[in-house]
Amino acid sequence: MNSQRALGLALALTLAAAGCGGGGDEFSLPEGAGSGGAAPTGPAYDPATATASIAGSILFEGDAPEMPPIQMSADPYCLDAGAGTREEAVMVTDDAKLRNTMVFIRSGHDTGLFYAPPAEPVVLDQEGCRYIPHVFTMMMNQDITFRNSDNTLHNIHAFPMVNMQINVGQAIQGMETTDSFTIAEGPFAIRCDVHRWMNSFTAVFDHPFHTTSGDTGDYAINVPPGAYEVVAWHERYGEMTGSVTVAAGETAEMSFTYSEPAE
Amino acid sequence: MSQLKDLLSNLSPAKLGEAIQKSQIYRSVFRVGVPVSDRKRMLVMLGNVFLHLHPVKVRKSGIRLRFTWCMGGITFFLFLVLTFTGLLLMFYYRPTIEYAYVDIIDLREQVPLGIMREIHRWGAHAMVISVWLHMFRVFMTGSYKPPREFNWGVGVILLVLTLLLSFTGYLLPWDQLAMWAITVGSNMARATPFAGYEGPGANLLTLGENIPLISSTSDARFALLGGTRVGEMALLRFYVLHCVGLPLVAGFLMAVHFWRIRRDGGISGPL
Amino acid sequence: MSSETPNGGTPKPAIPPPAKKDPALNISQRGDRLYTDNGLHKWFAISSLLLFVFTVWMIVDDYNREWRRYQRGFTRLSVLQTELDRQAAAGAIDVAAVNALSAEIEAARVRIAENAATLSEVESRLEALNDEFYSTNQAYLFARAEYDVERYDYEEAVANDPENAEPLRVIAENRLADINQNLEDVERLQIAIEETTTELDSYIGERDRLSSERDGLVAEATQLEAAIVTLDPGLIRTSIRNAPILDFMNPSETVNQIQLQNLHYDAPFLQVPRVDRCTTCHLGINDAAKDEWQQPFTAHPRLDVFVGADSPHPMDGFGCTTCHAGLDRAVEFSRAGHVPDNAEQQAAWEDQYGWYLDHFLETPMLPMDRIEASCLKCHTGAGDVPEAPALNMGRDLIRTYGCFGCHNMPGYEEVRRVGPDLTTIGGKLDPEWVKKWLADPRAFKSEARMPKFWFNSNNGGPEFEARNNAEITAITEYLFSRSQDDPLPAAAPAGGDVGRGQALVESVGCLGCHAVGPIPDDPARTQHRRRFGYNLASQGSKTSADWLYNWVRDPRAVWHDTNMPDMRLTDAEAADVAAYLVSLTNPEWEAEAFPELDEAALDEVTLEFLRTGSTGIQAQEALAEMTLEEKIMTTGEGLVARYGCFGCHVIEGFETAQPIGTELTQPGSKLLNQFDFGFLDIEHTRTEWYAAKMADPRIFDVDRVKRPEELLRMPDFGFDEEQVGAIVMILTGLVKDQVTPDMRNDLTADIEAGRGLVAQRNCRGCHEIEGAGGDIRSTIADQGLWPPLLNTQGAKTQPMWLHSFLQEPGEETLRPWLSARMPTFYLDQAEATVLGKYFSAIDNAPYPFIDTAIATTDESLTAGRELFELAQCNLCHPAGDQMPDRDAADLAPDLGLAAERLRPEWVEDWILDPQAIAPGTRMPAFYIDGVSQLPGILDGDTPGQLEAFRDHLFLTIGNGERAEDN
Repeated sequence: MNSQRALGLALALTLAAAGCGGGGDEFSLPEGAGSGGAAPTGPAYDPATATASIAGSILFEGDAPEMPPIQMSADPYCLDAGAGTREEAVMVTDDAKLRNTMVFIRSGHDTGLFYAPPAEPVVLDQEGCRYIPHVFTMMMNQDITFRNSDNTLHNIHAFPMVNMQINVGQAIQGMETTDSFTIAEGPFAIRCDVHRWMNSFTAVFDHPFHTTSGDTGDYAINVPPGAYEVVAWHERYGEMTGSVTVAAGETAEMSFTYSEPAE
Repeated sequence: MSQLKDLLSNLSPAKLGEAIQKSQIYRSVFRVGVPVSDRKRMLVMLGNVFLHLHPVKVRKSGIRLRFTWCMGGITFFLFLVLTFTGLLLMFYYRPTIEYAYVDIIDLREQVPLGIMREIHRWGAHAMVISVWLHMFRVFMTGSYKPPREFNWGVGVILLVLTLLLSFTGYLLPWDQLAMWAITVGSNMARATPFAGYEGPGANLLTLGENIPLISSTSDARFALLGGTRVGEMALLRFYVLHCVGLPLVAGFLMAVHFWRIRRDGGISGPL
Repeated sequence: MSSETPNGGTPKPAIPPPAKKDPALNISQRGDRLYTDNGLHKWFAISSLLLFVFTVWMIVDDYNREWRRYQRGFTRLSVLQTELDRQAAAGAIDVAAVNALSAEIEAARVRIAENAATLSEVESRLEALNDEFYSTNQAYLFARAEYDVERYDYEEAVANDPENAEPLRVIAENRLADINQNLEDVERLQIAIEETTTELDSYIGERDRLSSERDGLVAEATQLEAAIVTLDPGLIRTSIRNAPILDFMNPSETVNQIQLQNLHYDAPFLQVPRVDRCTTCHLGINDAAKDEWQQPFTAHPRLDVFVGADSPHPMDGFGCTTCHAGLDRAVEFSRAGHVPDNAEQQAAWEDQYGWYLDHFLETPMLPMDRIEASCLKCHTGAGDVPEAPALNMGRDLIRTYGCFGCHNMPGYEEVRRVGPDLTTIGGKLDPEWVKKWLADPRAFKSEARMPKFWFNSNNGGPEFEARNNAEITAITEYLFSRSQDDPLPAAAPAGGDVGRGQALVESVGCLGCHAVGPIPDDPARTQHRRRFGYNLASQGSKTSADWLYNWVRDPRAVWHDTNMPDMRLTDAEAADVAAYLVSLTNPEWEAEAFPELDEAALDEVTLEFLRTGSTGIQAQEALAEMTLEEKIMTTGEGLVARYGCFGCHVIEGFETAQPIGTELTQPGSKLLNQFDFGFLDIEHTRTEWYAAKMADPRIFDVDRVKRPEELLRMPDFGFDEEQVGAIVMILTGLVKDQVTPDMRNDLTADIEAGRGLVAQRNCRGCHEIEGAGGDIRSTIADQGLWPPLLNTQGAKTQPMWLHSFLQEPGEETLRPWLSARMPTFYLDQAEATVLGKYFSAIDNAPYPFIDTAIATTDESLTAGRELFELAQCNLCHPAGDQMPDRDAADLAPDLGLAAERLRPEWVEDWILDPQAIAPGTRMPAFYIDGVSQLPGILDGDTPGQLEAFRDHLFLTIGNGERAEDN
């Protein structure tokens, strides 16, 4: 009797021991499993912290190459409205500064912050059968308004590498179409397929530290204090970079000099 | 209080045991009771169907391991293990070519206590080894000498049956090893004299000039395989032989074998 | 038998005294009984104990499988994850709202309590009504049943016994009246019940609604909480339900399996349905939320393509092992056939899992770099397999390099041999060039497709040099002696301009199939379709300007079976191109001279051939009597047969000779023991063998001692690692698994045939078709000058027009701005039809009969003209005789062709969103998100405007047919 009881007890214990769930402890959840998957957008960037600035000029050395006039005979309206327009690839001011050069920060800004795009849209106008402005910069998700100020058919055909291509036809004078680019991207062209000479260049950024040298050849960008990599980009002469550190309240000077490359 | 004490004392294990042993049910099941005397021991042995197969008394010589190696007993034990594990395997093994191989895989992978398959296989190897050792021992101890020649003959037949059981069982996993081994083995049957169509004398067995009786579809090999090649018919045939036919014959002969030993005075009694 | 029974009977004499007291009977002193021997007890006890221990051990060991450990780990992780989710959900609950609702519910409850008496009265009233309704309804239904009987009786009476019919009619009518009365009662009760229910609801309904609203707010957190309890009901419960033996009832740890009737595993001698048990451990494989969990729980990549319920390969229909191979029924890591991807992973697995390679498994899992091979089982058609770039490259490589010429391969029986026709070799080449070429084709041009037969790893040593040269000389002389040189059709005119020729070659479209020199990789697209035609480098060192002139002018006249189409070059253009090509020379090559023939080496080779079929002595005698010429011819012919040159080239006398290579019918299923690894120290797996072989086909001769005629013969193609991988992918994928037609991807025969023809003629060298192709784009910088994208071609063009265009592309100039020309491919009717059907099939467009009549109104036609002017289409598009004042490079397609060429429905789709059909097109979009940018006409109604455009295009500009006004 005793031995039988002992046997039964041993068997029961065995079964229970075998069934007892051990093991499986070497596994663990991946990082960030609890966050629920939403991409953190980070705290918003406060423009008031941009107490410093980087400023300078884009200089041009040597003689500016001659820009030939554009043949606009394909469209009688353009022949009239855009008479005398020259190509805009290289435009140098009287004091030897290069116009229409993009200047922007590549690194050094806080990438953990969320930079809201400006509410005001960028306007790309078509007047006299050319794009105005010829070079501009914008932020991702910022609206861009294409306006046709000419009384002829234009189309705006943007050629980004990463964003969706845009090709919008505007037949009526005064028409405006609004769109935006959702991904930050380096410089790309915008062309008109009807008038092949028309072109414009833009770049899309995920931060507000960008500008162009415009008509004057000078630029200035307000930034929070820190060390930055500054890049200048010109449609013909390409890219130049420089590094600068700026403290609060100060203005750091950063100028670039381009010249026509020797043949 | 004292009534409680009485009650409790009546419930003591000893009293309880006694009451049980005196009950009608107990006495119906256990006719003889606890064997405390020689006579009772003998009665228990003779009165129980399982025990009465065993001799009441065993000579001391019968437990001489150095004499017997206990090989016969081990063989029989393995036979029982194989029967039991084989029976359990029959629940999960289907002897058709669609299922045989994958059922064996399933037994290994997924069936609870599918380890029965491994035990069955190892047991079969062990049984063949122990059968040979047993034969060797019997020879060495001269236990085949008169009047035990008949038993030796029965033992030889049992050896053949054991090997046949191994042979038929080998095919059942239906893998490459099984199929080709049986192909080789069954091809030997082709060469049987007279009964094999490639053996000597096969074309002597004809009815008249040109009615051959022994051909590839009517010879010993065909009988063994149930066909001309090792296929689904062979598998089924081997399965039936392995699970029913051969064990029955072996069991029958084992009964004869064991009885003969008892009759000749018990295991390893003096000649 | 026993004379003493305890069950009653006559009392028996007393029991004799115990045997112990009688020495004669004393057991331990009699000497022949051993059952009191303690030794026996000892051994018995030990063996019993051992048996018990081993039995317990067996049960426990059999029970403790590794998959249980994984399932427990997964449960634990799931619980943790659910807890985190629950916390997040709980944090997201709007506590204020919940509290407000709770307050309202409490108020409602109070109100109910206040009205308890009324409420119970209403409830009991409702209950009574329900009871009454039940009985009344029952009476109604019974009455109806009775009526059916009585009516039948009446009707039968009318038919068979008219005299006695009247009473029955009366009965039936009375019953009908009863029924109507019952129905009224029932309906009255129904209305009463409704009213009472509404009344009841006015008391308790609000509370219920508020309750369910509050439950809704906390629903997510509550559900997650319940989920946690379900996942992990506690250690004791889990242990009991999963205990050995007890787990037959309701275990939480189970083997999971997917049974597939239509996909088979190749068990010995039979295909059996697969039973995939992978999901026993791979528990998170179909859960997108687990894409970052660690193995084995991680989700499958690309659930939209594989495994997901909405994918083309859902898990329940396809399982796992049909793609990954391995033993489907296994639930243990090594036995399932997991194969590491590289040596580091192998070391990690051996360490972590005790991994070993189960060498009894015929189909171990595919390493991940060969996983595309499994696609081939079902995707057997001619077209590209989506998501399988290496596989597609492999297929193209096999078609380009012509493996099927020497090895029988399924699917390539009808394809032409890939090498040029050698029956006219004398008209094009000279023997010196051919000898140098045979010795090392890639020294002539790096992109040479001709493989190298001599100076390889097993016959490259100095001892082989004389022999190799002798063999090459013999073959060359033999080929030239059999050459039939027809004279070339025309002589090249003098004065071909090299510069113009180069410009032509680079712009007219040659570079879609050809390249000049090495082809640089382009990360944006494949370049292997530019290997379809032979590389054009060094042509000047190879052949004459005459031959090149004739060739580019009319390829078929020179070689009837060529794949090269007719570029419709004028004679002057052809001369320019010939001049350019002949200017491409390889001076290094020309400077080398081929060594003189070594007669002793030639004798050695000739002797081998003479020996077959005769004794050595006879062979020596025959050799002594042969002239040099005879030796060369015998040897040349024998070597052509030995090396199997006819596998790629047409050679006179060998047109029907059998290919010499191993059959490649099921290379992916070839048993491992049938591979000869030789002395090469590589992993003994199929993929490793194939990879080693493709990288250097002679490698398995390393360290072996062989007679020259026994050496391995497969030539060296100079494949790089990527190409080797692609070809090995195909070889691994050709398996003996038979997939039933219902499991294959179902492509109609039209699409299959079309894809086959497209691959055969290399259309994708220039055009992007079905998402792939356009290799020529890498040579054209301006996107506007690319050959057109053939997306929606079937829906776009009219079948008759397309048919005639494909046969005669030069008839009309569609795109004047393109310098590339669509070549004339000499397509016959059948082939043009195949293409027409193909394009229509992939776009689900009707073929070949369509209705181009357009139903329209005058208003639409007028609007169309206005739209046309407003959008200023004629700034870029010629329209009939109206030609814009622009360079040809700036023109758009001629709209006058549209009525005959385009399908009307397509034109509407095009104008609505050109970028969707042809991304990068110069056609501007006048509709942004469906909103018209041309307001004022037809009130800016987009569909109306599109129809107006169409009408103007087809009916006003073109002379399309206007449908009858109904």
